[in-house]
Amino acid sequence: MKRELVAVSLILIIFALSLVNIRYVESRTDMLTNDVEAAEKLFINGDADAAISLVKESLDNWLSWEPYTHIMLRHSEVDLVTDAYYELLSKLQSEEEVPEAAYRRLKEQLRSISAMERITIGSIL
Amino acid sequence: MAIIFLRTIIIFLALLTAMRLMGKRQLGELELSELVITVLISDIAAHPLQDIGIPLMNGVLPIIILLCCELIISGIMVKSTRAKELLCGKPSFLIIDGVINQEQMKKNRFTPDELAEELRNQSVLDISKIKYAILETDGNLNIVLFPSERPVTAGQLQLETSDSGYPVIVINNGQIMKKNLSLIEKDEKWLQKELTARKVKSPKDVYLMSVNEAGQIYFAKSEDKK
Repeated sequence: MKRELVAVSLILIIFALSLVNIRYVESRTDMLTNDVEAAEKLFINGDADAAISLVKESLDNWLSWEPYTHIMLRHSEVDLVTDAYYELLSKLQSEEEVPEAAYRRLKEQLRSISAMERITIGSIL
Repeated sequence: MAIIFLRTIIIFLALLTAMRLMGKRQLGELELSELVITVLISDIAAHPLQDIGIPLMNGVLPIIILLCCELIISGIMVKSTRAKELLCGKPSFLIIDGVINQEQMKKNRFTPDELAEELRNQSVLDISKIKYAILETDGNLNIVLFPSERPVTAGQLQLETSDSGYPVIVINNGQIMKKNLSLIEKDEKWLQKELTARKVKSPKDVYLMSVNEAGQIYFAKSEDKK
């Protein structure tokens, strides 16, 4: 009976941790997405330097989160977000017109990470 | 993580149901849930090993969940016979009083030639000699012959038999099994004496030596040292 109780407890703990993980990933990706959206607004308003420093800060945040993401997420998804960050940053620094697609790509990559973890019929099946 | 959790549970239940529906012949010697766990774990564990892009957690977590499932299911089966019947099924009588139960044969997807093969495996060639042939939940076929066809036992003949008891290994591949030696209340001095009597200097020269409760010794010298 003891073994079964340990198994039930363990399975409940894993499920609870997985729910905590969903909340954590969502809050982190939401925070990063908000940074990107704010940088986009700053760039449109002509403050390119502030936009660059905000994207850099957001990228640092993302990179500081890497040990967690590499343990919990598929490495290919993590690499896609990192690539999208560097692409946006290089476009901002080149002082050209930054296409909306660069922002959208990064935001979509961030959203897809939290969407992958979210419990929906689609993601389960 | 939650997706892995739910996917693992879904796949586990799906495989369990599928194997249950497939019938007992697919099982071999494992119980149903054990087989499902074995199949799943071996496959799940391989993926993160082959693809380093997949976090190890994706392999480790499902294995822990599956083991928990197995523990819970085996616990339920011990407690409830109804649950055991539901998960593992019931033994099926394929032959009763020398007559093949065709309904059970069909239900278990057993063909006559497969039954004959199983019977030959157990050195039974004549179905009419079989009282019962029972297909167990682990897939094994057990045969009970009519009393008139069963081998005569010493008890039936009222013969006295001596029980030599369980043989205990005292030297295994050159290594002295000290625990076993003390179990039969002997010491290394005795062992050395027995070895000297067999013209062997060291236990390392012995492949296997066992002693039964009657004190009879089985001795095999190591071929490397011959």
